[in-house]
Parts: sequence; C-alpha cells; structure tokens
Amino acid sequence: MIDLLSVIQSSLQNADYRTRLVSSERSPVVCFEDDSLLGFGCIFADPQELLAKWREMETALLARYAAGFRRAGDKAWNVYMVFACGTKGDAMETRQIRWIEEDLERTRKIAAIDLATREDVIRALLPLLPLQYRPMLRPEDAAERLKSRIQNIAPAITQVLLDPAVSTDEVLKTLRGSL
Amino acid sequence: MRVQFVELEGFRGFKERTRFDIPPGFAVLTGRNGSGKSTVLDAIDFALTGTINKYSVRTAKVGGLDEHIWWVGEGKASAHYVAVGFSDDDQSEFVVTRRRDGGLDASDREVMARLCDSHAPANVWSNTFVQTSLIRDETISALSMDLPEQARAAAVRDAIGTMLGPDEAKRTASLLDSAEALSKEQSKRVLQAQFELSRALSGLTEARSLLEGEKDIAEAERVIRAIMPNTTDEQLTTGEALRNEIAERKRRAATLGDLVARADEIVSRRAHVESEAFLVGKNTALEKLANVRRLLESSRRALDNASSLESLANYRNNFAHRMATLLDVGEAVGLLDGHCPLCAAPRTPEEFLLAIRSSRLGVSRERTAGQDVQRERDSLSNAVRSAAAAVLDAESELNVLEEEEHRLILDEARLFRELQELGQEGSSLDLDRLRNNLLQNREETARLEHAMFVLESSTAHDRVMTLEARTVQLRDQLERENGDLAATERVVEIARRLDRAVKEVANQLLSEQFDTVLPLLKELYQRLRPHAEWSEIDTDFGGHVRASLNFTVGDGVNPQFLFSSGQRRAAGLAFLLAIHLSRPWCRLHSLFLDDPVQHIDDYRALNLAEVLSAIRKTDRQIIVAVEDAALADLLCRRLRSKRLGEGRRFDLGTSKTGSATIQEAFDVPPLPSWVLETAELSA
Repeated sequence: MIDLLSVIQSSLQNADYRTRLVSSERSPVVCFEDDSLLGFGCIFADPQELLAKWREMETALLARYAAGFRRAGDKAWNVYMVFACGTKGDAMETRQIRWIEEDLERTRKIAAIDLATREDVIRALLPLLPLQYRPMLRPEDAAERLKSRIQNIAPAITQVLLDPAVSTDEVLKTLRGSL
Repeated sequence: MRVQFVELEGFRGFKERTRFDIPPGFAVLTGRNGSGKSTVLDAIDFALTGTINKYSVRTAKVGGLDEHIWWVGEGKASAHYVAVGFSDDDQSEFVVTRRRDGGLDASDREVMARLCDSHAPANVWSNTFVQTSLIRDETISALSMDLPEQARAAAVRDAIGTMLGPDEAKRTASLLDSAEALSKEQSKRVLQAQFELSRALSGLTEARSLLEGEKDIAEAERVIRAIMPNTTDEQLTTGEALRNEIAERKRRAATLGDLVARADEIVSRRAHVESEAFLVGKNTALEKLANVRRLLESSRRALDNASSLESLANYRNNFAHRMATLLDVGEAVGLLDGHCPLCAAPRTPEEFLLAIRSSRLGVSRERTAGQDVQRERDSLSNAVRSAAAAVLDAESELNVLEEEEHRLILDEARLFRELQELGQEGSSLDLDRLRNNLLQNREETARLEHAMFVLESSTAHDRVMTLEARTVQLRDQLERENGDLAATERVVEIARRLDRAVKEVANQLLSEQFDTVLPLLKELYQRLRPHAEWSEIDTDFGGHVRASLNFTVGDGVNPQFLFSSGQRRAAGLAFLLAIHLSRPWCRLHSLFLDDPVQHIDDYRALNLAEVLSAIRKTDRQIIVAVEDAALADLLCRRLRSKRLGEGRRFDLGTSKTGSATIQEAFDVPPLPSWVLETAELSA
C-alpha cells in the first residue's frame, strides 16, 4: 500500500509542479501549480467517501482560495481537482466516479480509485503530466541484418544484392552462375 | 525549427495579402466556416507539396482542385503566392515560397535538407512530411482507425520506416519478377523441346514398322523391271511411278474382271441362241405365224362374202317390217264394201282374214331369213378378229426370239470393242484366254506391290537411322533444357526467399520501431480516453511478409467496429499524434491541427487540449484551427505557458471584398505564477 498523498505530490513535483501540503478538515490536501494551471489533490478513504464528499471538498477549496482565483485571471479557468483513493469500488461506483470527471462545471476533475501503485497514480494524473514516453527511434542498420539473411540463402550475391550500382539483371546472372 | 509566419495572397479564399506571424509557442486560428482557418494550414501544405492533400477527388467537370487553388472570387488578386517562413533554433530563417507563376522558389531538395535530416523518405518526403505534421479533420479517420490493417501498417512505415534505410523490398521484388520471367521463358523452351522429341519419336516408330518388312531389294528390282521393263532407277528410288503403275493395274484388273464376267454371260447367251431348242422354237414360231396369217386371210374373205349378203338381208327385213305394218292397217280397216282395203279385190271376210294371216306368215319368214344372214356375218367378223390377234401373238413370239439374237450381237460387238481398248486382242471371244490374262494381271500387280514394299522398307532404314540420331539429339537438348529449368526454378525459389526475407526483416525492424512507439500511443490513448469503458488500447503488428497493424481494446475487441464515429476519431487522433511525435527525421517541431475536434464531445475536447498542452511541453509549436470560439478560448488558456513561449490567437472573418481576412489577432500572454502560494499567504 502506497502513501497516496505523497506519491501524488512527488509525481507532480517530477512534472515540474510546485506543490505543498495544506491542511483541511478531512485530511491534508496537496496543492500544485505550474505556469499554466493549478489544482488540489484530495485523498479519500474509499470510493463511497469519495462519491459522497468530492463536491463538498471542491466547494470548500474553491471558497478557501477564492481571493487568489480572482487575482489569477484566466488561470482560474485552469483549476484541477484530483480526487483519489487507494481502494477498489464496485462497477457502479467505478462508473459513478468516472462521471465525476465528465462534470465540467467549475473545475476540471480527475477522479480515480484503486490506486495501488505509483504507476496507477501516474496513469490517473496523466492529464496533468507531460508525455511519459518519448520514443527515441534510432536508425537501424537493416543492411547488416539483410546481409546476414542473404548470406544464408544465396551467399554468392550477398555483396551485390543490396548494391544499387548493380542491376537486378546482373544480380540474377550472378545468382544463376552460382548454382 | 518552427514556423515563423505564413503569408498568402490570391490563394484560395484570401484575395489580399495576409500575413500570419506565428509565435514560437502556439497559434489558435478560429472563425466561422469559410473564414480561412484551414486555408492557412493548406498554405503550408501547398508551399511544401505543390498541392492540397486533403482532397480525395481532384478533378471535376466544372473544374478540379488545380482550378481552385488560387483566388476565384470577385475581382483579381494582385499576386498569387504562398510563403511559409521557418526559423531554426539558431535563429536562422528561411522561407519557402510557391507562386502561381514560377512554382517553388527553391529546389525540393533544398527545402528537404532544411526541414529534414538524411533519414527522410527521399522521394516522398514532402507528402510524408505533411501527412505526419498536419492532422486534418479529413485525415483523422481516413489515416487511422478506419484504414485497412495493412494500409495502417503502411502509414506507420511511411512515418517511421525511413529509419530502416532504403526499401530493399522493391529491389528483391524486381529480382523475383525477372527470375519468374526467366523461368517462364525456360518452361516454354522445355515444352518446345518436349514437343519436338515427341514428334521425332512418332516418326521413328513409323519408320521402324516399315523397316521390319525389309526383304531382298535386288529381287524386288528384278521383279519390277520384268513387269515394267522401262522403269528407271530414279523411279525405283522415289517409288512414285511404281505406286501409279500399281494403281493403274488394279484399275485395269477391275475393268477386265467386269468384262470377263460379261463375256462369260455372252458365251452362255450365244450357246443358247445357237441351241437346237432355240432353233426349233424359232421355226415353230415362224410356222405358227404363217398358219395364223392364212387363217386370217380366209376369214377375211368369208367376211367379205357375208357382207355382200347382208344388204339383201337388210332389204328383205325392211320389206317384211313395212308389210307387217300394212297388214296391221288393212286388218284394222277391214273390208270396204266387200273389197280388200289393201288390194281392192272383192273378198269375203273369211277370205280376207285368211289372206291377212297368210301374208303375215310370209312376212315372218322374210324376217327370220334376214336375221340369219346378220348372225352369219357377226360370226365371221369375230373369226377375223381372232385370227388377227393370233397373228399378233405369233409375230410377238417370233420378235422375242429375234430380239434376243439381235441383243446378243450388239453386246458381243461392245464387248469386243472394250476388250480391244484394254489391249485384249482377238477376233473371237476366248473366255479362257481372258481369264488367264486377268489372273496374270493380278499376279503381276501383287508382285509389284510386294516389290514396292521391299523397296520402301529399304528407305525406312535410312529414315530410322536419321530419326534415331535426331531423337538422341533432342533427348540431350530436353535434358539440358530441363536442367536449365530446374536451375531457373531454383533461382525463382531463392529470389522468393530473398524477397520474403527482405520483407520480413523490414517488417521486423518496423515492428521493433513500432514497439518503441507503442507506449506513447497507449499513453495518448489513455489521455484522450475515447471510450469510457475501454481505457487502454493494444496493438498487434502482425504479418511476416505483408505487415498489418490491428488495434484492440479490452479482451481482443476491435475498436474499428465498436467505437462511435467520435470515439474512433479520438482513438485515431492518438495514433496520428503518436506517429507525429515519433518521427525521428523531422527538424520542424511544429504540429498543425485542422479542426481536430469535430464529432468529439466537450469532455474529449478538453482531453485533447490537455494532450496538446503535454505535447507543448515537448518543445513543440502547435498551430491549431478550430471553428468553436469557446474551444479556441479553452486552447488559449490551456496552452499558455510562460516557459514554453508565447501564443497568439487569430480571429478570422470575411472582408468587404469577399476575401478571408484576419479580423483580430492578439497575443496570449503567460498566466500569473504561484497563485496558490499568494492566496495562502494572503489568507
């Protein structure tokens, strides 16, 4: 079992968010912000509590930081609420929690349950995080692999088959001559 | 490298010169339909490729794409060009300009060298470049989820396959084509050799059959010369004259056979005509004829006599008839004053009646005498007719016999003539001699035939020798051709294996490359969340020779046929973005999106904005065109970043001249920092 709050905080820090923990009536809340958005990460004991308390939590946090939002101008439109818990819910709860995300009023909500590992947390926080994968495709030396295959099939043309300076008719002639 | 500006004039809906200065961070183009948003991105496409790649149909009856690239609205544009400025990381700039008159102002190779590194697909770089840089509404579906699995793999190959070096599959395919053509040609040669050998073997069989009948040739020649003394050596060699002679002899033998049969019949007939019975019969007929002729003569004379009595009899008969009538009248009148009314003689009634009765008796006797004369004449007339008929019969009987003799003479004459024509001389019909001649003819013909067979057998020997040599030669040739065919088939097989190996290696490498990209694709899919239930996507890059790429969600479910249009578009967008982000060969760090949110709901549009924000963090410039002003607001808010460079929003519309124009352009400043900290502190 991971410490969900600290994993969320560290994940956001790794993504260049400034974070800090603030207290709340229920449990500590992780505040996070970068140059384009800000938000709050709230932990719930179980899906039932999450479903019951998320809106209350959102209202409380918006009220608490209302003055700051007023000064934030357009950035106040980029407020995120992360509602997370580490335990599983049943299918209906899972679906209801997904609906929270589709509620686009006031803030952008990220709701996730069953967060048992750091990977689970990363997956849940993806909307906030930079791309996790940056494929680095390197040029492959296909010629070497091909030559190895050609050597096994027709050694006589290993050198000429891939040589664009040699016409295919010439390659064919060499191949026939080798049989 | 990023896009620095796009400038266009007389292009599509832009009549007047219009310049879009693009900041290094992002640009959001918005406006109503037809305001020119997409045209700005089309201008980049056109500048690089010389066309606009979003149209699947390029020609039409009323003018195709080429006729509508440049301004076609009211009035004339002052100039017709598009220019796209690029700035490199070292602040160096270069501009790609394409004009209606003059085309591209730099070579295609120069442009490629600035925008791409050496791994770019040389021949199709511009198309691949645009397809992987510019994500259009038109291509989100067409180039992603809705593609056939092999076309999808080909799209991946286009985007990242160039990392694998040159496409050797084309070369091995060409090698395979040449090998197959060679093998096909060789197969034809084998068939031809087989055909010629088969023909030679058939000729050999016939020649050997003839050879089996070979006999003494000298004896055959002697026989021929004995029967045909004038035969030359050449005629013997060719056999033609001999065959003609045999045919002629057979014809003559058949004719002579017929004549002998006819002679045999004539001899029989002659014997019959000259027989005693025939002579007696003929004499009897002559006598019979003479007798009946005499009888006829006498009957005619008797009839003539009877005819002379007939007129007297007729007179007496007429008299008797008139008398009978007169007697009837007299009797009916009766006595007139004691006198007979007929003769006026005085009579008593008794005398009168007696006289009448006596007269009637006399009349009756006259009548009877006349009738007797008539009957006699009729009898004689019948006798004449019978005698005449008998004469005819006798003449006919005699004619039959004489005719038989006459026909015999004619037939004998014709037979002699025909025999003479056949060279059968003789003044009399010698049946035995004819039969001997016929037999001799047949015997000689048979000997000639036999001699000819012997001679032909001797020529068959030479032919057998020739054909045997030819057969050996053809067998050797066929063997060689078969050997060559086996060699060419081995070449084909090797070429096929090479072709397969090259494709397998290419697909293997591509699969490895795609496996490298796959985590990004999965991540983008998770971020865009096309489907609420299936939050993860999997792929199957299959096919050893023909690569295919399939998507699956959940437990092997194909999203292509499960997702709604909007969901497929969101999933397709993930695929295209992954491809874009994986291009290793492109120096331009700009992503262009043309209305990517059609059919996508607000929640997924928000997901897309977040994804674009994440892509921004990869140091990419984003230029996006959207129709919805609220979405433009969202993007401007969400893409803002002080660290990642400024943004700009362009609100497009239509000017009074009908040209698309920039109605408003404003910079999107960075957002304030550390709001929460300030708020906390102030609280």
